[in-house]
Amino acid sequence: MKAITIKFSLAVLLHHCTNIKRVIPILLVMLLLSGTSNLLAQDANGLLSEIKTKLQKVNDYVGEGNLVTDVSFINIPDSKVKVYFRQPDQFRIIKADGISIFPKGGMSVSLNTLLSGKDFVAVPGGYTTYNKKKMAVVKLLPVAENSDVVLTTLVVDESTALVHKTTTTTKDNGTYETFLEYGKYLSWGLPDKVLFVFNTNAYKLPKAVTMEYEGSKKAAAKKPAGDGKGRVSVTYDRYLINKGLPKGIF
Amino acid sequence: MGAVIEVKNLVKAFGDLLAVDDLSFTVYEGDVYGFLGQNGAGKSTTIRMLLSLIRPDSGNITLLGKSLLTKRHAILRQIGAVIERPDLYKYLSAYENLSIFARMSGIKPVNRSLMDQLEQVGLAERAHSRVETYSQGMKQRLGIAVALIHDPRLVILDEPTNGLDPQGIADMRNLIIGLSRNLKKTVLVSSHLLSEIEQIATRMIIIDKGKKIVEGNVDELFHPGNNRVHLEVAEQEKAWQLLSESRWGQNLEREDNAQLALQMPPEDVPLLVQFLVKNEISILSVRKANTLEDYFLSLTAGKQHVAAFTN
Amino acid sequence: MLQLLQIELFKIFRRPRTYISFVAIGAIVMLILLAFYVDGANYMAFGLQSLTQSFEIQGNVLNGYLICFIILQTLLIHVPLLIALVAGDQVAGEANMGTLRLLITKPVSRTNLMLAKFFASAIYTMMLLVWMAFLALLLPVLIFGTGDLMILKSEEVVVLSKADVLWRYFAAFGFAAIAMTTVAALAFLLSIFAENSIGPIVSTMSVIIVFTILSTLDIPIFNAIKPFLFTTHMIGWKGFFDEPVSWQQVLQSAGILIIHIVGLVVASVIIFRKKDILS
Repeated sequence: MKAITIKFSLAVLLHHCTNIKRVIPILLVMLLLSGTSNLLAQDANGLLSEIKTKLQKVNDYVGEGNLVTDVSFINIPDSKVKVYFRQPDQFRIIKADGISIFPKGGMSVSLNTLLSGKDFVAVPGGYTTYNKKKMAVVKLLPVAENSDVVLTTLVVDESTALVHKTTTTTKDNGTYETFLEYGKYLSWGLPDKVLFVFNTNAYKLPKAVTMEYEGSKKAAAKKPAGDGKGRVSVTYDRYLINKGLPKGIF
Repeated sequence: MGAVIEVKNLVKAFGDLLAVDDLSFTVYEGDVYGFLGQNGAGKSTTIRMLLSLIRPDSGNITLLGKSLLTKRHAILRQIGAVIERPDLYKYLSAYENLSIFARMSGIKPVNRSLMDQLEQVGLAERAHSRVETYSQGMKQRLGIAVALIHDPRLVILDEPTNGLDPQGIADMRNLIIGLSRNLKKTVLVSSHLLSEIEQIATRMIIIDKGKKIVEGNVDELFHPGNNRVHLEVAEQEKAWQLLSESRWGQNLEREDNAQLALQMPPEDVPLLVQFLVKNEISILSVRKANTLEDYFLSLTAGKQHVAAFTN
Repeated sequence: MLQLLQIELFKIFRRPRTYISFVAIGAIVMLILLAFYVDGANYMAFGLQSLTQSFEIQGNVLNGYLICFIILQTLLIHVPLLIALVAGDQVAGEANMGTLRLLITKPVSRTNLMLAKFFASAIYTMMLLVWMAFLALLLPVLIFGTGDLMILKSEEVVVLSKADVLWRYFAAFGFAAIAMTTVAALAFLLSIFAENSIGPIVSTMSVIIVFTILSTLDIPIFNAIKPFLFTTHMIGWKGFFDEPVSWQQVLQSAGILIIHIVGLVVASVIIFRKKDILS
């Protein structure tokens, strides 16, 4: 999941899409779309390729930022991280000399796949107001019929071709969202901050075998229950873009 | 000579068992005081009370002129003791044991004084061997060295000859006599053997069932004048009548099995026999016994002769 | 008093049995270290299974700090036995050897003697913990290096950053010293009643085992009495590895343990002062 977050930060996200089997509801939607909304679909694909073009200006980068994890059952301090990326889809977050925990799956997101439209079908979703701005909605339907991903929705600023928000609904893992904020590196399509929100309700830590301290339990019991969502964010201080990467990172 | 130990009306019970029953006695400066009694008579309990190991239920203990209750430290500084077995730290050497107990007795152990002390009990050569390698006799001697290291005025030895071979017993006897004569220490020594006490003690007490039976100078208690005669006669009643009116009447007693007992000097025995024969009493047997030995024999046989000794 | 303490320490550290504990802890730590050195990766994979199903963990989880935590977690449950071995012997052992009666006939107050013996046991306990800290913290750090410390608990996974770990270990060892001194005080009290050291050692362990079972079982009726069992508070050292540390709870536990220590020692002194020495 974490990896996904980061990729999103780059541009767009795609998730869990290696299978090509089709699911009937998706097929139906696709049939409908192909018949009635060809023009809109074209717009969506056009927007995607704009995004892609923008992203391809960045061949590689090293981002330095601050990783903040807010998951009820993960108590980890905020930490400085380095984020490495290389086209097409190599991506890694490294916390120097430390431990980092990310939601799984993120690392397997394939930017290329998303943008190529091979495994996804892009469908326009109209317009919405996001951050007081009118933005286009693009829906991505997986081609694979037993994909865990049911639907991915992108909120895109058409004027800049930047993705501001993505929402991915999965069959088994609920819905997760990515929020991207742009600033200094806007022209490269790189966000200053990426926030990844995912469901944690389903996850249960195993009961520890060793004796636990009652005092810790009491303290833990006082904590608010939370909303069943986990949040992981990276706030970037700076990027080194297209300067090459040290060997052996990936 | 002042009293070194003054015990008054001492009582100690363990549950229902009255171990020490209203016991009083006095030990004077310079005494070798024999503390005699059968096993279980209350000797050890009394000695432990003197050393503050056991708290008396009631009664007073004054040692070296001070009350044990209020001046325990000052008193114990001047007492050396070996209680029952001379147990010491087996994993330490004789030297280390001696050093520990010297410090606990309030003196600073100096190498020379420690070695001198070990020399005196013949352990200098083995000073640095662990005590667990010692024989019983060596342990006993080390126990004495520990008891004496702080130069106490009063030495209390509880059954010091227990478990020793005849040579060890003789050595111990000489050592106790030496303590008194050469080092001028007051010694309280307990034993269940009359002969032992007789050989070394100047004064003594006999206790049984926690009570004092007799206390006094050893010379007097063993004095021939205090010998006792057992008389077995055919006509006990008639003999009793006759004797109670005679010169020996004061010390007459009835015993079981048609016996009479009298306390009299041994040289009077022929006169007694003559007197009885003259009065037509058939004498079945006459037996002479030292009163202490007699008493002790009777204790061993489980008989009661308490009355004879309450003087 | 200081002299008595010196004497008691001398006696403790001249006994071979005292060193059993040091050797045992050394052996256990070495075994754990060897096991981690050879097969640590598999252990971690297994231990983190539940987490790695949903999460990706990056970084050097298996570092010296984590191994120290595992060693403490494993060892501190068993250390009471090693403490009882010496503390339970303090009075009972002397009674058994026959030296107690000689000690009491010396011009030393029973209170001072008991306090000296207790403090000697406490110092032994401290030294055992220092030895443990040396082996369980220093060696793994030298071999495996330092790093962030990740701890799996029932409620959460805690990751503490490298720079934020060492003080917690010092605090934890400090807390463990209080906890283990409580054990020493218990064994010490029990040793007054026996004339050989097996009794106090076994009964100390029995008390701790029974209390620990009651502390561990998650049954409502037992939960009610948990706060009153000292064993519940003995693992308070783990509280230092919460983030943030629930100081109130940890200090409260430490306070309860200290009250136990004082209570047990005072009881020991009072009982011993009245005791007839019959050994």
